[in-house]
Amino acid sequence: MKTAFYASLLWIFAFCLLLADDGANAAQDKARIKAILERVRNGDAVAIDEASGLDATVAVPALQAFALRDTSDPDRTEKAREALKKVKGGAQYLERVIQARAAVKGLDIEVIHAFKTMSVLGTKEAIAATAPFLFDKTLLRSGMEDVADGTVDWLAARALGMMRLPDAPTSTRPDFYQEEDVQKWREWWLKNKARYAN
Amino acid sequence: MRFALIIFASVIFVRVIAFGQQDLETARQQTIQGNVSDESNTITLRLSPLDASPSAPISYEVPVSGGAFSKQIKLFPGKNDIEVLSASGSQTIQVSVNVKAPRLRVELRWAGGKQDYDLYVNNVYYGNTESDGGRLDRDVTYSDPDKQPPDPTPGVENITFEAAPGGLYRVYVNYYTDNDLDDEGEPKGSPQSTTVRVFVDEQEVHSATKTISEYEHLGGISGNGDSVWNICTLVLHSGQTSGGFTLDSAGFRDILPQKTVLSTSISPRTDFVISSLTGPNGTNEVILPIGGSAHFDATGTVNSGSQNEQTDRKIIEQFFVSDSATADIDSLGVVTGLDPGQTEVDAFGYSGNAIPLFVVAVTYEESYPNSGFDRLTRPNWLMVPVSGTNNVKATTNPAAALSKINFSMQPNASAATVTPTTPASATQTLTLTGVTVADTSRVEARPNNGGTASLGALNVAVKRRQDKTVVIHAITESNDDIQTLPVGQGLPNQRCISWGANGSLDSGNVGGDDYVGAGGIFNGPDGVCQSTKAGDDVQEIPNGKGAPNSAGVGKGTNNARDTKQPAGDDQIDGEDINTGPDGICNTTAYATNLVPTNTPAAAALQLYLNQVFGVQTNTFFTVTRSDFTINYDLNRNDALNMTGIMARGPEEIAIANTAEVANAINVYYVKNFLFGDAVGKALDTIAYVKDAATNKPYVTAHEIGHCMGLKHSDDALTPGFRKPNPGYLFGVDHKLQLMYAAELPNAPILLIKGEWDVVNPN
Repeated sequence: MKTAFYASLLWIFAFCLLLADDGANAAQDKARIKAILERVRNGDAVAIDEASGLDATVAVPALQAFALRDTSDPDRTEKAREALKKVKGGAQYLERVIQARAAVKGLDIEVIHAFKTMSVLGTKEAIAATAPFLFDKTLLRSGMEDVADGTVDWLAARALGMMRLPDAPTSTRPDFYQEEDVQKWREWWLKNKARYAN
Repeated sequence: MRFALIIFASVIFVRVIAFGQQDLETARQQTIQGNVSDESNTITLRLSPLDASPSAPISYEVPVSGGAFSKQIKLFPGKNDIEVLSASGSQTIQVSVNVKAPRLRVELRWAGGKQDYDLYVNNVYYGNTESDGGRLDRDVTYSDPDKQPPDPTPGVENITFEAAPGGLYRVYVNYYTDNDLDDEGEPKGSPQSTTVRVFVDEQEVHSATKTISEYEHLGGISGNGDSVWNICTLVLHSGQTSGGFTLDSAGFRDILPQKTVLSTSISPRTDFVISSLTGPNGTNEVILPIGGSAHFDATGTVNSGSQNEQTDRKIIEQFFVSDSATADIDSLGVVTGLDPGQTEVDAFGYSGNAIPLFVVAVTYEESYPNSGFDRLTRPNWLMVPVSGTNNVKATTNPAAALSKINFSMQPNASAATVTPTTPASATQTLTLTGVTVADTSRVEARPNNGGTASLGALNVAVKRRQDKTVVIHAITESNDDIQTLPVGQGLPNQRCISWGANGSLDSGNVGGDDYVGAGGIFNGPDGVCQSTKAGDDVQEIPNGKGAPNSAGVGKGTNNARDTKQPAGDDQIDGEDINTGPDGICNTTAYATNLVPTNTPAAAALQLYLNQVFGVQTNTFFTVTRSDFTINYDLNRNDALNMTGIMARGPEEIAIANTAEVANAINVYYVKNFLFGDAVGKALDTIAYVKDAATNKPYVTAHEIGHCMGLKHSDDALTPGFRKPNPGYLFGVDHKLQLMYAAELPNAPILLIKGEWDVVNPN
């Protein structure tokens, strides 16, 4: 009986140690992530690659900065785009960004970048995350009195067009799309979405 | 101007956690957490007690990490306003600290027998047993042997406030008399040792024991006060309206008597001498920011020279500052900085030197306009390039504090350096040198005596240089239709009249420039028949007309009709215009190009853009120019038509097909534009600028701002947009900003921190 009691104490002690260790590990991990992100911000090529292993919520924004925004160094831009493709859950993160911001922010640069990043990814997951927006008529305000507002579905069609899929339903340059091109993509998705199911 | 794009809505969510019914000291310690949606790396948390001291709000600079912040603060009893200010917004919540009023009980105990001691707490005593919520349970006198129930031994008196309101509770004991008399009526006993204990919610917070050796003999208690023992003053802070209470953090203080408060006849001694006055730095000067607090102590002797003399006592309610506009000091010696200035903390009854107090505010301003300084946010921001420098002016107020502060980078000292670290003049130019990309550093003015209070902070955004390419195009609308037939004329050398069956020309009158040729009369060079048939001749073209369906206006080398509409009875034939039934050309060919004449030179625009974006965001441009003549005006309205922000219309596509340069910001200058003066599209990084406006480079800079993702700085002018504008929030004129929605004569070019980060994320 006594032995069992001491054994259980030992287990409790070990469990506490484990908890303490977990806390220390979490702090270390946080510091490591912060250090990588700081190196990414400073354009460190190695860190750009390392960032692909981080959680999508921090990796994608950090890598977008070089993949889409500061493109003054083509090699670094290419490296950032390659790293983006490796980020686990990147497409799902971008999907959440679009859902959260489009309705609230209008034609927000973050929404634009989210769709452009989807096209950079070009993966099955990215297609599956982008295509449902082909039917999203959420208004993206232009901010101009007499210039027509946009809708989310157009951004989705352009993103899919920029992926250069071999069976793309239209050969029109994506930035020249008209409504019929967007419609072709909708029809394409209705026919093909089963291929992109999980 | 009308432009596309963006807004920064700052949404701050603030909450107080772990708030519940607890003892007050626990309840006061609260963690304030929140989220900030903008790019702030610090927020200002301002605590304003509504029901309690101090009078000035207390400010905390709280770091933001991953959009979240957390700070444990000590709330004041009653209601508190907690205001959180981020770079672009603020939110205020109100929190009440409501803990039930404590039960305050003061107990006087002595050995008893015959001596009569009396307990006083404020106005409650044997002669006024109930007052202000307090009640004396029993006046123990031993003067009446028949008293029922008899006075207890030992003697005990309690004054209890069941729900003690906030305020000062002054506790005294008076030795009333010795009722143990001998046969001659003289006291035969001796003074007793008395013990006073103070309980708050039955927790003992103070006790003191004393044998009062002097007493008034048969003279009542009013005498000269030598028999009065001043025990302590208990300070209960209180939210007067919501009923929160606490003890001062120092518990309570022994003080000199406050006879003005008492309505009893007691007249305690009031003499005191303060022998020392100390602050947080001993007797050295104290430097505080506005809203900052420090605690001072006064120590001395009360009841000097009496047998009730007490030395080394903390004395309150004697503090004062020489300049109440600069600082406020409360009865407990807590001083709060109000406005910049120099003053002294002193105490009545203190003959030593007062302690100098500086309330210092260091403020920052741009070294020159639009130099990468954002004054719309609090704290202000300065953009500093990596491996480069930027300057800012730091003004120290009061100037007398100049030698008492220094500047340093906090908390991340590796991101940038600041020089000089010691100001030499009231307005000192500081030079910041960027080391690594960061926006978690700030310049902080601090006391140079080791204090850590921030006397004024400036956030620093260290940014890498990024380079962008802009290609500007003067796009000439091609109009090159050819006037094949002059207006008013027809196709020449067409037969007007042919002879009839008789095989000879009967018409003898050949009019105008008509002439006789083979088989009849032909119109001359003007292409208009001016002859009338005779005999059996046949009038093929009526007099005064020409040959119908003749080519009048040709499409020219651009292969498209530029002439808007055919005139008279002329008719469109493909891309040409032919004469109508009258055979006379009525249409003037449109052959005048629409040439933008004010397109800037590439070098001049590059210089301008680098002044705007380079200095403020460390983004530099290479600008080239490539002009084209394009037949883009497909609907022939002499202007460029744009479809919207998403789709490109056919006229835009016509321009892009010829002129657009990949991976660059393309700016097209056209003679006429249907949508105001200019438009910038973030989606395609293209901009259109109407010729009339192109001599204003700031218009181009504004549109390029849109191309890089910036929205208007005041979307109040853009119907439907929802955005709190930092300019409005902080009462600053947003018309200073480059991204103001309308063209302004002062050509503003200011960019603020949120915009820096959109343009240059690193």
